This record gives sequence, structure tokens and C-alpha cells, in this order.
Amino acid sequence: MRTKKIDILSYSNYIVLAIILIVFAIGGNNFLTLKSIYATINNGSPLIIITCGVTFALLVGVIDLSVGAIGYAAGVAAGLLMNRLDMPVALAFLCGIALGVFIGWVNSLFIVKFKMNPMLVSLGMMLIIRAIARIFTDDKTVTLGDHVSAMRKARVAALGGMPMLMFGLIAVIIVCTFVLRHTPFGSKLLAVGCDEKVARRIGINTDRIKTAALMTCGGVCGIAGCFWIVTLGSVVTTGLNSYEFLAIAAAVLGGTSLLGGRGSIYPGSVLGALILLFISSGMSNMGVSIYAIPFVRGIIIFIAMYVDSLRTQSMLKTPMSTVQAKSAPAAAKP
Amino acid sequence: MEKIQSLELKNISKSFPGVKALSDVSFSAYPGKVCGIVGVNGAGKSTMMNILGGLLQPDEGGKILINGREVMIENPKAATELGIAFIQQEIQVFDTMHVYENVLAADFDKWRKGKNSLVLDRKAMKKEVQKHLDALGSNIDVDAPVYSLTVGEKQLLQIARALSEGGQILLFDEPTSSLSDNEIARLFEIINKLKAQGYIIFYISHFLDEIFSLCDNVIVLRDGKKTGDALISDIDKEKLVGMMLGHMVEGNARSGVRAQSEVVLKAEHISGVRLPKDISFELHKGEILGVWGLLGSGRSELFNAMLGIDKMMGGRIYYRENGRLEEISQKKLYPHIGYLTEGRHYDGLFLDMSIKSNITSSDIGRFASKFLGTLNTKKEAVESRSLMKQVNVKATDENMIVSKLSGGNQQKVIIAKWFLKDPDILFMDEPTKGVDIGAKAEIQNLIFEKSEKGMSFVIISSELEEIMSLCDRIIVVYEGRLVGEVSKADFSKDSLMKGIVSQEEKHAD
Amino acid sequence: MSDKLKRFAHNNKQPLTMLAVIVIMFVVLSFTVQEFMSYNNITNLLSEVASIAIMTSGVTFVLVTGGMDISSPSIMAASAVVGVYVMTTTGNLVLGTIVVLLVSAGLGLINGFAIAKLKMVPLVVTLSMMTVATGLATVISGARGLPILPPAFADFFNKYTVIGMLIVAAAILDYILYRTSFGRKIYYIGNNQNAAKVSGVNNDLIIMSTYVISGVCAGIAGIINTANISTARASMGPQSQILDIISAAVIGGVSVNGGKGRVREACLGALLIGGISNVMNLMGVSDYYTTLIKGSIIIFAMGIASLRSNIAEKKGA
Repeated sequence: MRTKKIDILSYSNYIVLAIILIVFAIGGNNFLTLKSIYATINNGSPLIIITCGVTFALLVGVIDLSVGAIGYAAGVAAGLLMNRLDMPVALAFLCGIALGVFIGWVNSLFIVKFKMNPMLVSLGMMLIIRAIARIFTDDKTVTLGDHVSAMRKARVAALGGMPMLMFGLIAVIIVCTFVLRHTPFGSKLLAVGCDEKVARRIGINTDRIKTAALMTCGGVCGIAGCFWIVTLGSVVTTGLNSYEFLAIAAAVLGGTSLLGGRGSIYPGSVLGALILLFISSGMSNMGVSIYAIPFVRGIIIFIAMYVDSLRTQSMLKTPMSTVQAKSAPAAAKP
Repeated sequence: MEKIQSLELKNISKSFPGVKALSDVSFSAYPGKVCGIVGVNGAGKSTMMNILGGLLQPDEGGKILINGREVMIENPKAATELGIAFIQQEIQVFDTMHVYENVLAADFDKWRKGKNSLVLDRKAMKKEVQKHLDALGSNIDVDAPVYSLTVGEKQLLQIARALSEGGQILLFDEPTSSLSDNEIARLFEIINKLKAQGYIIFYISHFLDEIFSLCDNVIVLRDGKKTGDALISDIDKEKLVGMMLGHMVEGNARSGVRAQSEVVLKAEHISGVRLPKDISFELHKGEILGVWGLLGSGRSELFNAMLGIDKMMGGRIYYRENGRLEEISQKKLYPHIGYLTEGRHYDGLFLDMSIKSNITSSDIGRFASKFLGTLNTKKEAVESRSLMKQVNVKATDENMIVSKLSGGNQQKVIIAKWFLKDPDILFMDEPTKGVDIGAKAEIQNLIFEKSEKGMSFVIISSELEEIMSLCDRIIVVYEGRLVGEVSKADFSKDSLMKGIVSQEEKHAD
Repeated sequence: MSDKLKRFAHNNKQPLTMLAVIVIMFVVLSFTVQEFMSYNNITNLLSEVASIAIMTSGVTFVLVTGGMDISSPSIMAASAVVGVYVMTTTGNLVLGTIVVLLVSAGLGLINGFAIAKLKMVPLVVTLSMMTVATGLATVISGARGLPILPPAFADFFNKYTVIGMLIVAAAILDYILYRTSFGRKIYYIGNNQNAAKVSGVNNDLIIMSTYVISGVCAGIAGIINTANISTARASMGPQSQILDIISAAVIGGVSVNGGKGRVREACLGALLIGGISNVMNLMGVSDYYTTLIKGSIIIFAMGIASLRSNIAEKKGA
């Protein structure tokens, strides 16, 4: 009986997305054309992928605020390697992604090994990473020119001019979903996020899982960085600014819990990111002032977070939970 | 894994800084037998089980033998590999995951489709879990999300998990503490089934009835020492209690029934979200009223709902103020009462704060100036020092951090805290839980002293001896309902049990 | 006498070490950086630090309850923008200043209500508040920005007034948190929320008021910043500023898990952070090295905090 309820809830994201599309299709100007939808998704691919990445961290209960900066650093690294050292594009991308994985590992060193407050550490890391990346670019825009323009411009005519890049986006989403849903790693991730203490007691190496989750998060954000420089064709210094907040909001919007243990890549986080993207593009399509968009978006995020907290509270309120909570700390001391 | 034929423990000791939790305990267990482990709080039962489960290491000199071979249980994983499965008191499940994932959570890697495959074989997982659930005679859906299960079903998952890990020695630690009666009956069926299949089963419980109906032999611990080891058929309850308690602490029972004075508090039809259901009682001035019931009967919930800590779904409270008994809201009642809760660390103490701050927390407004609310720390210090002396807290001074005190002294700090407020009515939930015998007697004497001076008490205790020696009157709670009231003259175990027994008979019909 | 001195030293170990660090830093800097010890620079430094320090004081209240408020800079910007809007449309500076305080209190109240009454996660609430408040500031200041205020405003809130405001605000807030029963209740909640409730503390009300205090402090900081640039804009409270605030508090020994910390030490932390920025500025270090160092400082401070609690735990066991 309860399972059915959840199905409707996870459906709700499709419904919200559909409503948004319909509202803007009616109110907007040529909003619901294939071209404009492709453009929104394609330009939003960094956000979608960062949302996927941050989901891995959120699932183990770590609020990682450095995700935007990781994407930025990866993009800068790949861009510079291409631009200054003339490195092959694929290799440069690999280096960018590797950098993302590495930063994820550094994060895990502080958060898992030294048990420091995850949010503050990643907030600090966000500043450090951005600062270092800007030192490397000397705070100037790096244009990539020919290196990526072919990739950016490639279209599939058969699908109404769908950008080739979207295949990459879809591939990333599929791989992330697969890892989370079908591998032992994914299941362990959920278990650790759900209750770290229990997971440790039944023999899961929680530290290792959390480290792996943060490294995966870093790697995926690295991929996002690559998408970012390709879609833009250049590396700008303010790139991916405040994406960490948008990505976390998108993930929560998609039903991922900030306390860990609940959430999904697809449909969850991906739909959450799409909702945010279409709200922004729809509003600008309708001619809403670009200054008002963050305000409206902020209010929508606020409401979404409230609904999420209601959902979590009602779901996890099992009748005996208070009794257990009471006996637990008393039992801890011998 | 080979079949385990015997488990022996030889001279197991365990010391914590300042405490000897276990000293020189030896016993053995065999397949197809349920071995009960009993003892009062702090007797060392949990330490014993934690050693077997690999969560604690015994001191040098102790030996654990399986099939006659010495084994080291360095961590929970080692315990699992040896076939020891620990079903802990707190339910250990992952609420947002599915049933089958929960059962097999300990080793997901084992359930990949092939050796080099990355993919989980969910079909095989479900089949495996179904097999264990069938063996336990349960009809839980393997695909259900765990948060939709009842507590009893969640516990079953833990047993299924133990079996799936190849557990042959099953340790049950207070498994019934949060179960309803029907669930307990089902659990017993399952344990009997497992026993017939040749598992070695340890069963820890506070409830002697459970021990007598389930176990084949029983081991009694007291203050970390083994004080009894007998076949269940060779002993009776009195003997068992004697082994658990040693010499009885005497001289506490208050003689004579007090004259009934005026009613200070009247509760009518109190109901909570789930428990309690429709409980009414009266409390007289200076009276010590006992609330007795099994764990999970809704005793603590009665207090929580009545005092507004949890939501009260229905009911009225009357309180005597200015000589008249009038209806009062929970918020208005709270300044007149004190509430010593069961969870000392959960909602009793501010562990990282000083004794002084803890004691004055019950009535901090008293130390604040009228205009700015400035605290008079000197007055705080003086008053908390005098209270520390009154309840005999052993500490260097009032600025000592509470977490550095022993359990008994921490409990006394909480009592001092409520004595500072000096309420008309003091609700106490297990006031002597986890406290050594000496401190226990002191606390009981303090309660008597205060009640002589007109303070009324409502006390929950799961220890029959304690509640019978303390209280003037006892009400019996069962499954959230009031099922009996016994006055001092009629105090006996039988009279208290009568209410519960009559309810159980109703169930049987 | 020496006994008393010892006691004093023991009880005030934290602020004394911090003061020592700050003094040593200043002495070293006065030799190495030329203009550092000049009267002008020191007063400038103090007035620059004031807005951060006052916000840190407010956030300290929230942190001590075990909460989290990352919306402080955004509330600062939003309330200042609304206030300046009122000032320039009505021409009434006093009214505008009051509006700043009211708006910041209101936004803080929304935070507090969502957290205490609706039981939402503090980080989530203040994160959303951050986007909403920044959005609000952007909408009102619009594309062209707000006009410049008459010089009377900046003249009144000159750097001496600002330093005075900092000292008075810090003293009052420290007094409220550490010496009054209201403050004690905040510590109770931060230490053990359940025990506080059982002890008869009105948790919801207290938690709510800490967010209002944090909001009002942001408003005061907004006034100071407005006077500094003679107008207000959305970019006045960059999101990264919350990092300065939290790291100042953490360096000052405020625990992000609640129950520990004092306003005066958090202010010293702000002085330390502000001092570093100031010195970097004087030495002509570029902006990104400053952020780099600030980021490292917070991680370092967190590391020390977690090390300290680890040691304490070992001692306790």
C-alpha cells in the first residue's frame, strides 16, 4: 500500500515538469519548439551533470559545496592543457576528470579521515579551488577556438537538430544511474547514507564507501566541467558560479534527502535539474526581467525544500522511533 | 563452515577505566538449547554479549572456544565469520531501502552476477531472502520498503540477516523490549523453531517470565560475576531473583499507610498518538504513586503525553491551585511539576556543561534579575552546592563537567536539578536505573524525605521490589490502558500481575 | 592575588591565546608592512572589520543553538537595498534606517519560523533564504542600481561611529549570550535540545529569536556597509562572505555542533580574518591569493577544532 504512494510521489516530478512546460508554452513565445528545448538542455548540461555528481555525496549524507568549483577547476585544467600545451582534446578531458577525482579525494581526506564538518570543509575548498584556478588563468578568459567548436556544433539532423553533446549527457546520466541502481557500490552507498552506524556494525567499510562516493562526485563534476567549456567554447572566470547551490536545490527538488540514504539519479536529480532549467529559460522566454529570475527561483526552491521536509518527516515517522532513540544513547555507555 | 558443536567461555574478564564490568565468567552452550542470561541493570550482560559479538575485547587471560578450539573475535566481522550473529536491542535496519537489500546488506559484493561482474543479481538476492523468510514462517514482501514495516517485522529482518550470514550462534539482546504481545508470541515461535533446527541461542531479558517459558538453562550475572548457572527445570523464580539481587537491600519500605490527603492532580482520559489510551488517575498530596507495567506498555508515553513533551491527543488535567481543583493546560501545569526522564543522556543532562548549570536548568529564571535577565552566578553556585550536598553528589566542585561523573552521580545531579525547582509534583521515570545499590538506597530515602514534606511523586519503575517498597499505591498499565490499581496493603507480585494476566486471558479467548 | 590571576588565565585561555596571536601578528606586521601601524590604517581596519564582526556575533547565537545561518550576507544586502530604496524615494534617512532593521528582522524571523516551527533543516532554510534575499536585492536595485545617498548618511556613520557601534554591539551581544538567562537557555538548547525541553525551556521561541538576532545583526552590518559606499547593491553581500563569518566564529572557538562559544571570541576571530585581508591589501596581494588563504584558514581552523574535540573525547573516556 505504502509503495504505491511513493510511486505517485516520484511521478510528481514528471507532472511538475509537464506543468511548467505547458505553462510556458502557453505564456511564452515559441517556447515549446524542439530547438529551444534542445538549447535549454544542452546549455544546462553542466548543471544536470553536477546535480548527478552531488547526488552521490548527498546520498552518503555529505553536503558538498565544492562541486561547482570542482567543475570549474576541471574545465580550466582541460582548457589550459588544450590551449597552451596543445594537448589532444580527449586527453585534456581525461586530465580534467582526473583532477575532479583528485579533489574529491582531498575532500574525503578532511571529511572522512579527519572527521571535519563536511559543509564547512567543502565551503573552504570551494574558495581555494576557485582561487587556484583563477591564478592559473590569470583571471582572463581562455578561448578554445577550434579545439572544441566541431564538437559543439555537431548536430543530428534526423532528430531535429539535436546536438551531439546531448548523447554525451545521456550517456553520463545512464552510467550514473546504473552505478547507483545496479552495482553493489550503489547499494552500499544508500546503506551508509541511511544509517552509518548500522552500516558499520553489520560490516560495511563506511569510511571507504564515503571516500569513494566523494571521489565519484568529484569525477562526475569533472565531466561537468568538460561539458561546460565545450558548450561555451571558452573558459570564463566566473564560470559555474553558485552552481553548488543550484545543484543541491535541484537534487532536493528531485527527491534526494539532505540527510542521506534516499534519492536517485534518474528520475530524481535529473528531473529536479530540468525543472530548474526550464523555469529559468521559460521565464526569460516570457520576458521576465533577468533580475527577477533568481528571486522567483529562490522562492520555488524554498517551497520545494519545505515539501521535501514534510515528505521526509511523514515517511520516517515509525511509531516506535522515539523509544529506540531513547534507549540508544543509554545503551552506548557500559 | 563446519557445524558448531559447542561454545565455551573461560575466565572472561573485562575492565573499563574505574569499573570491572566482568570478572572471571565461564560458561558453555550447546546446539539446540536456549541459554538465558539474566541480571539487573549493570550486571554485565551487555558487556558479555558485546564481547561475543566482537564489539569489545576481553581482558588478557580469558578464552573463547568454539568446538574446543580457541578463537579470537577481534571485530564484528570476525564474529560473523565464526558464525556468531548478534541481534541487538536497537532495531538495525536501513529504513529507505528494500527488505531484501536490508537482509543482505552486510555483503553486497557477494551478490554480483558473476565474479567479474559489476551488476547486482537482484533476482538471486530476492530468492535467497525469500528462502530465509519462509524458513522463519513470515510473509513479509521482499520488495517492500522497510519503513513501512512494523517493529516486529523489522526485528525479523535482523534474524533473517543473521541466518543469511550463516549464523549458528544467535545472540538476542532484549529482543522484546519494543514489541507488542502478539509480536512477542511470534518471536518465541521463531526462536523455538530455530532451537529445533540446532542453533545455539543466547537470550538476554529483564523479563523472568520470558526466561522461564523460553530457555533451557539460565546464567545469572551480578556485578560482573556469575552468580548462578542452572537448568531452568531446577530453579524457580524466587531462587532466580535471589541469584540476581544477592542479599536484599532492607530498611527502605515505609511503614504504615498514609492517611489520604487532598487530591492535587487529577488526570482524565489521557491519550497519546499511539499510547497511552484513555488513562485516568488521581494523585494526593505527599503521595508516592507507582506506575507499573512492562516495557512498551505505554508508561513513559503516559508521562510524555500528559506533560506535553509529546502530543496529547485527548484528555483533561486538573490541578489544585489556591485550594481549588481546576482544569489546567499542559503549559500552565509545567511550572508546577518536575519530570525526571528515563534517558539520562538523551533528555536528562547537558553533558558538556557544569554540574551547576545542570542543576539550575530546571528553574533558571529564579537566578535572573527582573529587568535585564542577568544571571546571579554566585547564587547559582551557592544553591547548587547545597543541593549537591543534600543528594550527596561526589564531585570536586560545582564547576565539574557532568560527563566526567559516574552514572550514579549523574543521576543524583538530575535529582538535585528537580529538587532545586521544588515542584509540587515530581514525575520520575526509572529514577534508579543504572545506579549502584548504595546510591539507589540514597535516592529512595530522598524521595521519602521529600514526600514527608508534601511533595507528591509519580514513579515508573520496572523493578518490582523497588516500586513496592517505594510507593503508597500502584496503578498498572498494560498496552496503554489502565488495568488495575493496587493499594499498599495488597502489594504483592501476584496482585500486580493480576491485571495483566486478566488482559492476556482476554487475548487468548 | 596570583591565585586569582591564575584562575583568570585558566578561565580565559581561549581569548587570551587569540589576543596573543593577534598582538604578535600586529607587532610583526608593524615591522614588515609599512603603513600597517599607522593610526589611520588601524581605525580603517576596525571599521572594515565591523560589519563582518557584527554579523559573526549574530551568527554565533545561531551556531550556539546548534543551528546554521548562511543567509547572513544576503540578508544584509537585501535589507540594505530595501532601506536605501526607501531613503531615496522618501528622502527620509531615519525612516530608511529603521526599514533596514525591520526587513532584516523579518527575514530572520522567516528563517526562524521555518526552522523552529516547521522543523526544517537550518542549512536548507538559510540556503533558500540566501537565494531569495539575493534575488530580492537584485530585483529592487535593478539594472541601473540605486542612486547615491546624500553625504549626511555617510557623515553620520563615519568610521568612529562604526567602531563605536562595533564595540557596543559586541559588548551587548556578549552580555546577552553569556550573562543572561536567555543566553543560558541558548547554551542549554545547543548542548541538549531534548533536555532543554524537559527542563521547561521554550525551545521554539528561543531558536526563533536567535535567527531574528542574526538577521538584525545583518541589518546593522547593512547600515555600516551602506554608509561605506553611500548606496546599496546586491553584490554587497557576496555569498563567499559567509565563509569569513563562519571561519571567524570557528577560529573564535564557537562549535558548529552547538553548545560552545562566546561572542567576544568570535569577534576576535573576525578581527583576525579582517586583519589578514587588510594586510594582503596593503601588501598589494591580488584578490585570489587572499581568498586562497582565507579558504585554507577555515579548513585549518576546522582541523584544530576537530583535533581539540578528539583529544577531549580521549580524555573523557
